[in-house]
Amino acid sequence: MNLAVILPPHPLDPAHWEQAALGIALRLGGTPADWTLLAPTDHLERHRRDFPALPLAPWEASSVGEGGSVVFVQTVSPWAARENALGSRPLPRFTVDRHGGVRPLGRAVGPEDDPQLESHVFNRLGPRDAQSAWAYHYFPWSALYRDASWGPLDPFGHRIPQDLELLRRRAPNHFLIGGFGGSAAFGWECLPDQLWTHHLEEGLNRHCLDHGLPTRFTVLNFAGPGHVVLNEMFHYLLFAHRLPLDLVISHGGTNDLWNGQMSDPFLLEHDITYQESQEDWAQILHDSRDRPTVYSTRDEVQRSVNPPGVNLRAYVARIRQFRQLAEGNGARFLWGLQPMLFSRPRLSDQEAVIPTKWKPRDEEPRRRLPQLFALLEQNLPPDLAEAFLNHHARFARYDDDATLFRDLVHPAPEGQARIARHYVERIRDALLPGWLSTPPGETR
Amino acid sequence: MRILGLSFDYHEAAAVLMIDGTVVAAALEERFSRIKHDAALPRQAAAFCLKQAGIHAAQLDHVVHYENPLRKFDRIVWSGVRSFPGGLPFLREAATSWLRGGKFRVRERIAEALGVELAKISCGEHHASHAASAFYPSPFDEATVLTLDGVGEYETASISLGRGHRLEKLGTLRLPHSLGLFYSAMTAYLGFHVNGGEYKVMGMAGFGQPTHYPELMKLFRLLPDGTFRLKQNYFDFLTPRALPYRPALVQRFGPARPAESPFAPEEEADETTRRASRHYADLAASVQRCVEEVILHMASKAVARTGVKNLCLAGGVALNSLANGRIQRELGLPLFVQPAAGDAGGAWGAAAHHHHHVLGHPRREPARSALAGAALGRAFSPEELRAALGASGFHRVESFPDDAALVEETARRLAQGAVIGWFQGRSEWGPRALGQRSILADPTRPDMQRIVNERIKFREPFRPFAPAVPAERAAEFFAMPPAVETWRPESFMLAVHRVRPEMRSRLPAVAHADGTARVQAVHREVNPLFHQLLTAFGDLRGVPVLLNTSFNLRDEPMVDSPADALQTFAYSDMDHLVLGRFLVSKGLDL
Repeated sequence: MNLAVILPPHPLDPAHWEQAALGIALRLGGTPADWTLLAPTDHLERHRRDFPALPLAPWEASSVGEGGSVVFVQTVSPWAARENALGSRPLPRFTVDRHGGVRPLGRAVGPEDDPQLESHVFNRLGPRDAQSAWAYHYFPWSALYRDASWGPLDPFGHRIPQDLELLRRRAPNHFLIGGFGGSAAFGWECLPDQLWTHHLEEGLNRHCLDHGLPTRFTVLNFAGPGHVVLNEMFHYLLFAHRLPLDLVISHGGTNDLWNGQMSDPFLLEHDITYQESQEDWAQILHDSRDRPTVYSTRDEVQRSVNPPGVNLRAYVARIRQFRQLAEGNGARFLWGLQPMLFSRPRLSDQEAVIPTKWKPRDEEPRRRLPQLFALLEQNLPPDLAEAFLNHHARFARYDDDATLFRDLVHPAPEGQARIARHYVERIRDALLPGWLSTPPGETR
Repeated sequence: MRILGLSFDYHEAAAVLMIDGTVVAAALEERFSRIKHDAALPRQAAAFCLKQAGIHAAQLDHVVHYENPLRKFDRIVWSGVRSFPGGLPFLREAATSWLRGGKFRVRERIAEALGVELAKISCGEHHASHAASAFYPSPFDEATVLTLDGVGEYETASISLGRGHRLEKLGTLRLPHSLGLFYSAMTAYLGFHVNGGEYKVMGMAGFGQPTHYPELMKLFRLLPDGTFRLKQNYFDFLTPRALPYRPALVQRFGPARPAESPFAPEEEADETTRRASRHYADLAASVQRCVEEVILHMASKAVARTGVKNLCLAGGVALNSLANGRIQRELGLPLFVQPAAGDAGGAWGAAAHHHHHVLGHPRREPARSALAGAALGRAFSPEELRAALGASGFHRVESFPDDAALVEETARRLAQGAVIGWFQGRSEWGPRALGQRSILADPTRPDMQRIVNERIKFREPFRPFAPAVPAERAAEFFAMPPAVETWRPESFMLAVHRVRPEMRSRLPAVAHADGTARVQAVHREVNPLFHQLLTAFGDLRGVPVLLNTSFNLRDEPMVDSPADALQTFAYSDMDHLVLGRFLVSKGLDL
């Protein structure tokens, strides 16, 4: 294989390298043993000391043969764009970030990066330029977010590698679980086998194997960045209608409660909330930039304007509706309140620097979120208690040194694993016995 | 004659509408924008004032801004030049900020924002506005007027004589000699925000001893004319940098207190925390003592100079309630303090100065028309309250047919230990909650200070709370004169007095570590409902005193609208909220 991986012109955190290497392997293949590992001359000795097992050589343009590809490890500063040692040589170039996200350098996103990019008209009509390629595509029924940096996506932006047609014809003892939610559930900045849905599937199947149970599980990730429960229901309607699912998991809370602080009060009274970008799109579409939005402009401070009771009521109303929808289609339903950085009683060293990067613009809604979570816990409706799984409360017990979060909201790989563990326990204890005792063909 | 006074661009922006010499509406912009210490041009506060009076901006006769921006910039240039070349970055930054912020175009901005003709808009003078804000609403036909703050145009303090409708400036003090900036610099050193954290220094001082007072006081040279000189060894007030104090202060007194660091001077804390806390508390006490001594010097010399014992105070330093208590006790001076003594009060003074001193209009019987009660903000009808409740999501709402029933039930719940948000009538003018937008609790419970600090206001644990008491009974519990007139600082919670030793054990939640309290004397004729509540509570618990703190969470402005109140109620651990005659309990219908 002819792949050159260039380490950055600054110290490299071993954890970042580990994740970057996983991302390169996933996207471009091979392992570090197969790659040509290079480092800028000024930093070569430093990297050799930090990574004694890596056969590092000085980075020179001649180190990269024709027909090869180049990956710049870019974990801190965007140094790769300034790197011109390769000149105009037509070599595919990429960057990989500290989370393993591999992106093309110096060209637009194409089908080679995202094979489903041309699969239907709304993918074809979406953005391609390097600035906005990883962004929302217009789609008539919901948000369609495409970012294949951390692994392949299906035509609709889901991290679902399975063939859904095969799953439709699955065996009676094959249970299908659909996970819905926002970017945390999507697995932002995590690679495919680091996702909670992957761990959940593995955990359940391991349990079945260990206990000789005649069942198997597949877990599908229908989550998408920015999704509120309304989006989750749309994705359920659009993409899971033929399967059907045995269990629907709505894993979220933040997008609804964050947006619900600031979105249109009249709509919120009708249990409708939405992402800030939707107002931008309306202004673009109708050339109405001279008319005010409800969300604050980029120059203004965000205000938490909506009453917390109305915000929570809207969120819970949609959860209740989603549950009715899922159960009406023969599925069971679980409602997971996602954990957040503020759930933890103590932060790891890596997590401790996260708050220093917060923007003043978002200070008030950010401050309100834990308060909204607390209000939800205090006022949990009895009819939903059985379906409720409080990850936020469980993470409040994790005072160990593990890094569970990348930022305020997105779990790191270990955080994803713990979320999955909670679901495994709940499904194993509360749902599996009933499924096992239900005769095949009957609603379970 | 309709005059709108405005203050903005530096500290609390505010609008005050005066019609024929009477203030009909006054409000801080932060209460509308919900941005703490909002300094932006107060469009919303001004709009409220006009609406309250039922007039349009075009019907205003004058609009007066509280200071002269060109003269202020002249001082900035002078400061930069005097400190050349070190002052160049300061000058450059100031010029950029002024240009970007439109600070040279104050009149034009007002004209554009309010739709008022430029010819009607004028600029006053900073300390004249402060002085007017203190003298004209006072009960005195003549008074010595002392103003003290950080800095206005050039001045940091002024002494004036108010007589009838005239206000004559007798003397001023100029930068860099500034008591306000001294206090602010030490506020920053003690780990608090400048222009917001000064009163936390007062609270911290109660835990310490003024051991550094002699040394700090040597920085001041008190002059016979009532002013002073402040050595700049530790400060740079002319061309301030990122920190308002010099490295020499740190070299002398040790590292500045890190913001949000634990403050625990009591025995239960670990040795390191306890020692550090006591060090900073002693410094706070020393700073506070210095400031009190300077104020007393200035007050006594000013009164001696004018021969008029009545004293009026304004400027941000006038909010130093410990000093205000000493002025009354030790100097025996009748004292009136503008409730919004900081820059917000400048809006009041700008209008009043223009009306009386500039245009020559007489004052109406000061003794009878003196400001009594500061309820000059927005009020809401029962229908508006009901609508807000309906939109809030709260479903446990009780409604009472009359004030007596409301008071009885509220007092009962307070006596049971509930913490209650109290939202009544027009909101307060100034930084203090006076029974219109208050959080109330039982001060007889030892744990109530901790409960309200930690669970309701999320404040630093050492912060004390203030008591409200019927004015006619205040002297039973606090070392105060038996009669407290409605215009006294205690009516606006602007003076600190000792809790009577025999009463300290009965009022544990409002007696500070040093045995003092910042008392609010509530007059039946000024706030009958609140007075009624205090009395009813006293009948149940034996002491007609309530813990009274402002209705807001930490780092938020006081609530103003019912929606603000319901939001704050939802996000805190308050047990109930009284909105007019509605009593709301926690519990959302999800």
